[in-house]
Amino acid sequence: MKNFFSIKNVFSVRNLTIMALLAALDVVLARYTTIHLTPQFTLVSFEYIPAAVVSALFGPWAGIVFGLVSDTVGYFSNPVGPYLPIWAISAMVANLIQSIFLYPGKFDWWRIIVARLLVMLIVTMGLNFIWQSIYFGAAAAVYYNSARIISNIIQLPIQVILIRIFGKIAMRTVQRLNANRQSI
Amino acid sequence: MNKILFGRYVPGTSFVHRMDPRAKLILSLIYIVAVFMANSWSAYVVSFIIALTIIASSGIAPKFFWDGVKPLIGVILLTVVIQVFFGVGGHVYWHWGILSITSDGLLNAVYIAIRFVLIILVSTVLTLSTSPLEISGAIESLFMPLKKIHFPVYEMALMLSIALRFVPTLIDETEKILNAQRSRGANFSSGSIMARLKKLVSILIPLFESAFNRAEELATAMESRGYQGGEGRSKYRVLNYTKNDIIGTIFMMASVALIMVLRNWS
Repeated sequence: MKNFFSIKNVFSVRNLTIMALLAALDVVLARYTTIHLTPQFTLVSFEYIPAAVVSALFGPWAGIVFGLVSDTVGYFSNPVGPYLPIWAISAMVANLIQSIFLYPGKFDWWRIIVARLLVMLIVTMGLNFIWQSIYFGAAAAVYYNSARIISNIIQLPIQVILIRIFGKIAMRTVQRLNANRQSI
Repeated sequence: MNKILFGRYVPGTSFVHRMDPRAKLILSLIYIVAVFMANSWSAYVVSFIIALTIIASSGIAPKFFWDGVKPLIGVILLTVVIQVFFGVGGHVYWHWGILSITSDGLLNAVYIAIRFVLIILVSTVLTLSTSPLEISGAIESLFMPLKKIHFPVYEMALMLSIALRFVPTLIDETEKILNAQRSRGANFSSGSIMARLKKLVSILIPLFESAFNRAEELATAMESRGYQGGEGRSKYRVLNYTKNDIIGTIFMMASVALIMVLRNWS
């Protein structure tokens, strides 16, 4: 447990640049690979992949900082709507949950499924509902949150498969880069 | 790359532009909290006057603010409709099954719509008058007290700056990958959901590979220039509070106090 929360070596220069580029990729994926049915109903989105990869490869501290950074970069690179930094808490908690199950690089099916289900329960149905109630009022929050939960349930199988595929690709890439460095 | 829309910063020399980004960020958040606390017509009128004053002192054309609100009109109207038909409390004007129109529901619907627009307007002032890199510097400075509990503030700020810098580069790269796929006959906007999903996954792999390669190149470049963490580093852009920040803070504090008085008075 002590190692799990250790911050030592988490933010090395190479890890930092990988996390920063994945935060930028998060914004790009939101912009190019999201299929909406209605403004509140996202049918397909790949935004969760960089966050899951960072949480799995670099642990809880990296996941928490990544949540804050990706939320901020996401808003200020394409500022549509109100700036409500409270939403960053949702991203940070989601990444913490994912790191608990996936760190260090454990991409077993059950781990990914449990992590995504807990993110849906605690973040989507819990925290996001609270933020939406404050912002839209309880009646509208129930509608928007129901739409989001249905969207998450539909996306769950795809999310699990893609996190496993891209998690393994990312892990192999990091190992290859490490090997290249050591051989120089 | 020039055609890529990134951020919405409009350069200028207005009162708001000359304010310190830290002050702008904090005062915007204070205003947003104050608007959430407003609970009467008089408090919303005062909030509206404050928003108009901030907009006027930003010297930015009204068209930009309309552009900020326009994409969300659908969401605002939907929220109002839901609130009107599902809101409860007060005098019941109409009732059918689970739907009802009540006096409190109507009032809340109007309040929520006004609140929504006011918060968008002030957020828009912040993003139009402050560049993303200024925001990054402001966040770093404001998070500095968390250094005491070992929160990685420098690392977070560096991640923010690198990510903001590389969003346009990755967008450019995505466009190239999409165009390459299109030239081979791929159509990303048509076909069944599964077909579109498969096509989208095909662009994810080169994007991931590109992000990792760029990260490695950047890390090598930083290390070869002797980067050893943020501790003790000097800054190219030094943030300083000015007279404008003091005036802005006094104005905002007085306005928030007035909103609180009206809230309690009502």
